[in-house]
Amino acid sequence: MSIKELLVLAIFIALAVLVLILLLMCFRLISAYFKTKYHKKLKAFVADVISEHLYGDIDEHHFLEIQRQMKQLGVDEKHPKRVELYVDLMIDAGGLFIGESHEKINLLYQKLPPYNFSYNRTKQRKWYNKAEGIREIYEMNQKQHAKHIIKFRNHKNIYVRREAQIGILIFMGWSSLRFLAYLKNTITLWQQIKIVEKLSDYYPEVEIEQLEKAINHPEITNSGIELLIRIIRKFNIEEYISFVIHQMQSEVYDVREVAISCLGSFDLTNEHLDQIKINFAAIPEDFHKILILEILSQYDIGSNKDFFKSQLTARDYMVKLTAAKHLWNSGFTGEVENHFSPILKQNIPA
Amino acid sequence: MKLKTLILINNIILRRILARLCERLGFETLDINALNELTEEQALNKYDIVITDIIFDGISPLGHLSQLSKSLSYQRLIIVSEMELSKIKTNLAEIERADAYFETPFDLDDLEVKLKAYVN
Repeated sequence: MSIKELLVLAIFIALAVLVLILLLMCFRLISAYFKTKYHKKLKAFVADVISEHLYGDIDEHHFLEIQRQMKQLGVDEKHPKRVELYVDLMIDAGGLFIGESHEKINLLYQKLPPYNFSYNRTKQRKWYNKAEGIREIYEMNQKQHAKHIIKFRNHKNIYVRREAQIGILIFMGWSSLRFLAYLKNTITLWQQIKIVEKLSDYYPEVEIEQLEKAINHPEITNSGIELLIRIIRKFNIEEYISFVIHQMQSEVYDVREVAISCLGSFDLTNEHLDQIKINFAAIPEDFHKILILEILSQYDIGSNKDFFKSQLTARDYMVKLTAAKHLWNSGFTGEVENHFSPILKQNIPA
Repeated sequence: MKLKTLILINNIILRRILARLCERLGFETLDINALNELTEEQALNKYDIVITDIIFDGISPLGHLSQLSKSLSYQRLIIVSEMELSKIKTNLAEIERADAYFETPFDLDDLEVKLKAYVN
């Protein structure tokens, strides 16, 4: 083969590749065009169905008619992508409203095919299908599948079990604490915040008995305790502040941290302050002792003077200095001077 | 007398539902995607109630509201939007002139009560 022939061959191959790419682009463009067209059509259909359901006259044949139209549009088991789109649109529509209209849309969703689409999704193998299916079930309030969701609370994939935990919470309310406080895996901070937020959105009434049960359970986990502390703070349950104070001397660093940061946002009574003072010595870390002193300093230091004075002899010098600082700032300069002047005299040669 | 209502919302589901609600209350309803889809004839009409979103393609919320008040004559303005009122930090004078501000998710019954009060 001469060089000329080789060159021609190379040009030919390059052109072929170029044409192939162009064809592919054309195909993608055309399919995208039809997809958006179909999306618009489906959206208009869903809009009509929902508005008819909310404000129209509905007779027995209405649902049969809608099912016929859905078949025409091709929303059925053979086209899972289209069904997914349809379910998303329904969830979006439900999210626009609260109150009676929200319930009505959920009811409509249950009455229309494809039945059990979300339920079947949770049985698929891929984790994202499972998580999506669980989310669809709780967003559309399909109570009949609530028991099925509970099985996923300790699932090995974090996203699946997160969705399942939120689902359990939405279906069961405060009584779900008996699941959430004893999960095998640790609950991340983000998930804890999400659970507390959802609880206050959906179930703003505090159910003390359920909380009591969760707290007194012997197998409660560390992240379960953190979750309960956050709930006590969010709902400002004063009866259980002593539980939070008790957790202040926990052996686990994170639990202590959460308990102490939550204590700062309560209005503590004198009894609580006394309890804190009694438990103070049992706190394992000096850093946390300083934080507690900062919290105590927001209350009347005069009545806690003896406690602060006793901390002047503490082992850690930062604790000592913090106690001295608060005493000094609230006018008890004499006490501080009396304590420190002998030490200063010893150290500074005359 | 039938009240004339104009609904300007991009989200077709929300728009159709509100249009249906207005029709059921006996209003004369026109629902469209955006302000620039109005025909000249429709723009000359006087509207009693305008229900509008504030998020549209290619125009800021305040820009949309000022354009609305310039190009149309209407008596009452209701804003229905997915944007939270607290997130709009700029001049609120236009929005405060609105009769009501509904941010999703809201209760449709509240809107219905509001609209029914206009009939009398």
